Order: sequence, then C-alpha cells, then structure tokens
Amino acid sequence: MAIFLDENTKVIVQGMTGSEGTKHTRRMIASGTKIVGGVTPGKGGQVVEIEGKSLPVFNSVSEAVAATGANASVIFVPPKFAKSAVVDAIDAHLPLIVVITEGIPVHDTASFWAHAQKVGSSRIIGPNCPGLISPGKSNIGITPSDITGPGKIGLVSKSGTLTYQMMYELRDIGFTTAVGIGGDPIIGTTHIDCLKAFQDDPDTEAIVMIGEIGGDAEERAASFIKDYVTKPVVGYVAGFTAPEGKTMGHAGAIVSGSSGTAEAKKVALEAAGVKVGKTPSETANLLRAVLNATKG
Amino acid sequence: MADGLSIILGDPAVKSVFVNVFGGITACDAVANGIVQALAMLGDKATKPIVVRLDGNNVLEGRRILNEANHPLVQQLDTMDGAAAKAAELAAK
Repeated sequence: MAIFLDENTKVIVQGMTGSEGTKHTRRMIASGTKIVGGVTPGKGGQVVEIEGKSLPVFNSVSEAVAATGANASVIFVPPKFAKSAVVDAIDAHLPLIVVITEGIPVHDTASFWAHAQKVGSSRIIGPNCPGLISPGKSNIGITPSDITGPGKIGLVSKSGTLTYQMMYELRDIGFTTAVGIGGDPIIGTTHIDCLKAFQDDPDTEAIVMIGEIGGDAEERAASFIKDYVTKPVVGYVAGFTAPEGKTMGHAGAIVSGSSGTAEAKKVALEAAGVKVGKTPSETANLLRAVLNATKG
Repeated sequence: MADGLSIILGDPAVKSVFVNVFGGITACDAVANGIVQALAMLGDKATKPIVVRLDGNNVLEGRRILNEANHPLVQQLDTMDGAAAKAAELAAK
C-alpha cells in the first residue's frame, strides 16, 4: 500500500497547456501516472498530444471529473490564478488536490484552505511543494521518478530537494510514499497528517521526517509522535546555521527571535524519541540502524 | 542563477562556492547553463573555485554542459558529502 496516491489514482492537470504544465505532464506520464486530461479555462474542447497520449482539455474541473472520472488534480497555474484553480477543484469535490505553484499570496492560500475545510471533501497538498510519489505506482508533481523504487519507508518533508536527496540516500530500501508538503507559512496537509497516514499504512515500516526552521510544525509533530506513532521515526532539520530574521529560501523558513530554530526542533523531536541526523547521509544511516534493530 | 552566482562571487568574504542541486522543477541543464553564463558575464572578475554537484532531472545533460565548457574554476563531484568536503577544503586554503 501507499498513502494518498496509488496506481488507481486518475489525475487531471490544471494548467496542462502552459509550458511547465506540459513539461511535467510528459514526465508524469513517463513515470506511470494515470493522467486523464487537463483543465484550462477558455481552452475547453481542445485535445493535446503529450507523450503519445491524446488528452482532452476542459474549461472546469467539474466538467473534467464528469468526463474522465478523475479523483485527483495537480495544479501548475501561475500564482495569480492559483486560488481560483484550487477553488474550482474543491467545488468539484476532488479528494486530492496537489498545488505545485510557488509564490501564491498567503492570503489566497488562507482563503482556499478555509473553503476546503468548509466543503470538507478535499485533501490539499502544498502549495509551493514538489508533490508526492508512490514509487512504482504513481507520481504527482515534479519529483524525479527514477531516484528509487517501491519499498517500506514513508517520507514527509517541507523541502523538495531534501526529499530527492533522502530518497537517493535510501534508494536501496525504497519508499511506500514520499510527500513534499511545501515550504509556505500556510499549507494543506501537514507533517502530522502524513505521520498518521504512515502509522496506519501496513506497508510502511519506518518514517523519515524532514523539517526546517520557522513555525512550530516540527514541535507539534513531535508531540503527535509521542502520542500516536509506534513505528520508528528519524528526522532531519535544515537550517542550524540560519541567521535570525532572514527568510531562507522558503517563505515560511524564518527564525524569529528564539522561536523556529533548528536546535529547538531537534530537541523537541529527540524528546519524542526521534533520532535526528546532522546531515542527510547521517539521517539515512540512523534509519538503517532503526530498521535493523526492529528486525533483530 | 547567473545573477545569484555573480553576487556570491563578488563578496570578498567568499573563498569557495558550493553549488548543490538535485534537479526538480529547475532541472540540472538550466543550472549548468546558468553557471556557464555567469562565468562568461563575469570574465576575469571570477577568481574563486566553484564546486558543483548535480543530480536529478536532466543530470546527464547538466554534467555534459559543464564538462564541455571545461572552465578552470569549476569542478564537478558526484556526491553531496564529497562536494561539501571539497568546497570546505578549498575555502580553508
């Protein structure tokens, strides 16, 4: 099994006719994802050929769902139009909405997030994220698909690059699902949502959690792990040398006064029994060690 | 990439540069082209060693672009830990 995404997930691409949308639709199809169509308001009725597939384009997500039976969407539209694209997907009651777009105004994210809560039928991943991959089954977003194959590790991360790096370090073991939840101050699916899903997934035997400076998501995840997670968890926190008051790459990655520091997050995670590595390769070795210990 | 690299290379406190990329939406060929363009733009003003580690989307094309440019300041390493150690070693010189 995998979490949130498997070989039966039917995906539409919002913004498929744009340059990034087309490029990554090609990559997703090549990695086995069931792409069933696209949505670009005003271009409904067109058919585009991508990677040997004829994909219908619709004006709205609800039209696309009615025609294709899609149950997931991935969004590649520019920041200015992202909010209306997400709202369109929420109103079509899509169970899974993955928002890749970086640079969506926080106020827009707050607004579609609240709308999703009210409608109550969609899980949002992102924004500003690489998406998620269940290797060998399906890949929604921009994660390189050939890093590793299916296996027994679950991974949740705020960072795209660190997700890829960790998959690479542990490529011999493989992953059930790797979820990039995104680096914005407001995101849909959190570390905790993923930890819960991995705990409940019988095929996931161990979990890697990657955090970074800013906010208190890692501290809250640590307290959730203490209460709920019985599988081994190892962690990595990016930004030990980050200066105070500077946004480091991600909009949400900022140390404010003494809060949001990597050290505080490491301490909280270790207090919950999570071993925290200083580098991605050390974290990978910690994971190998806990897997071997579980076997013994 | 070209702009970012020229800012970093212009900082007198910088002794070596480590470019570490696992290509996702920004693929390795775009990064490699950015490095080559930045160095062409800076000309003789670029004097610091640049250690590059590329992996992920379009990695072969990215490595090929850098190999072909064959710039004396640029060296490529395969792993993140190895490249980080090399960049630190060059900074300590």
